[in-house]
Amino acid sequence: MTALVAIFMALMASSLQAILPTWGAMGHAKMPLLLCLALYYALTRRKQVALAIAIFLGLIQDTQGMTPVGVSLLAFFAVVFVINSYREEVFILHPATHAIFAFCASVVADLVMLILLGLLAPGLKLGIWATLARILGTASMAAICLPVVYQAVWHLDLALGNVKKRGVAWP
Amino acid sequence: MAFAVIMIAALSLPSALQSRIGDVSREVVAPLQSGLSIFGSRLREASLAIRGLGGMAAQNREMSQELTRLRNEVRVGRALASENRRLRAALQLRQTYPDELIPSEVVARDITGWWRTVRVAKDSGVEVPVNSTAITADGLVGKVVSSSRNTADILLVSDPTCRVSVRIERVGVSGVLSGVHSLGKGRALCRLDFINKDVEVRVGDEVVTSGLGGIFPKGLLVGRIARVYRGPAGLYQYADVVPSADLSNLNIVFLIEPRLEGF
Repeated sequence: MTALVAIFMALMASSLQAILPTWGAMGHAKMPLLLCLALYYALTRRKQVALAIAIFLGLIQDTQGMTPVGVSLLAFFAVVFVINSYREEVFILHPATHAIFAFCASVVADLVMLILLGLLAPGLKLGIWATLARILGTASMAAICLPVVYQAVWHLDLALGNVKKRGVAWP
Repeated sequence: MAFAVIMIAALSLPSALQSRIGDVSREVVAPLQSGLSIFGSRLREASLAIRGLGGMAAQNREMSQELTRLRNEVRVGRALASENRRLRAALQLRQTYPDELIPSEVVARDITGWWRTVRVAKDSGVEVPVNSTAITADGLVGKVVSSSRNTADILLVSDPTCRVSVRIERVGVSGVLSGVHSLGKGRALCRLDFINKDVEVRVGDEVVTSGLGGIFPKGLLVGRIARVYRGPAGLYQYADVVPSADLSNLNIVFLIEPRLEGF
């Protein structure tokens, strides 16, 4: 059932991420719904499941645009791996934790993507200020977005019996 | 270990296989994107209709006048096109403009934000090759960079990786136009590089495609010059160009198949 929910949410998140508007003040950053979904699974599932879902979501993001396959996949994998490893050190049920995790994860994911895009897509031209605004914009939106995504998917998982009330689904 | 193998495999996939996976993924997500996009535009239309009820009579009157004017222009244009075809045939020149435009609805934008692209839903029976030109009634939009059965991705003219060979209509000077990253609000911006410093370029001059480069047809309106300035060495002029098509608010675009000679 977790796989079905993940696939359904991935389709919804990728569609919404592609059609939602962007703001100039935030560097025309996209709402990082797929990343937030990957982070939700990093916070609520055991490592193997979270990483498998991160790869799937990264693949969806890469194949939906002009990004070479593997760029988002590797970025998502890296942040999910780190967050999944350190989640037990913090209050993972608190929205403030989600917001901080999302902000940091988004910055790291964007930096990993930038490095990989530099290697795999040398034709891509990025201005320094536009890129900085975009990274901060994405991170701010991730910080707002993850608590909402977490609650939405957690309640769906709860209704379907994928997670226990006031708890998480690992191991 | 298994994850590492998957990632190395993903990063080293041949481009043909990447493209195939991309096509399948786009085809799966496109109906949902299309549905959500239609739902969003219906909501916007309903909201606009409710807010604009008071001014609808005046708007209707203006649109009727505009329609009459455009009908007259079309009638004159048809006569000129017919004459142009006859004369070109007499002089044995190649046909420059296509007869057929493929209407397509914009359903999504680039998912990552690193590129400026839009996705359009097209009729599954219509073949749209890569490098087909995308236009609106206002001017050039971009070119097709990938195409699957029901969708096509268009790289917008405002993307820095999209380079268009153009000509400043009034003075006849050619140059290469590319998008620039701009911060803040307002319409997208492009830059025309390496214009001869002795040419008098004015704000408001029309920039059209030159037809050189073999991708974009000749004579399509790209935009208007918004600012002219000298480079640091003073050897060339540069110009900021505002695209005439509103790239941030695209609903319907028309694709031109690059099937004719001269494209």
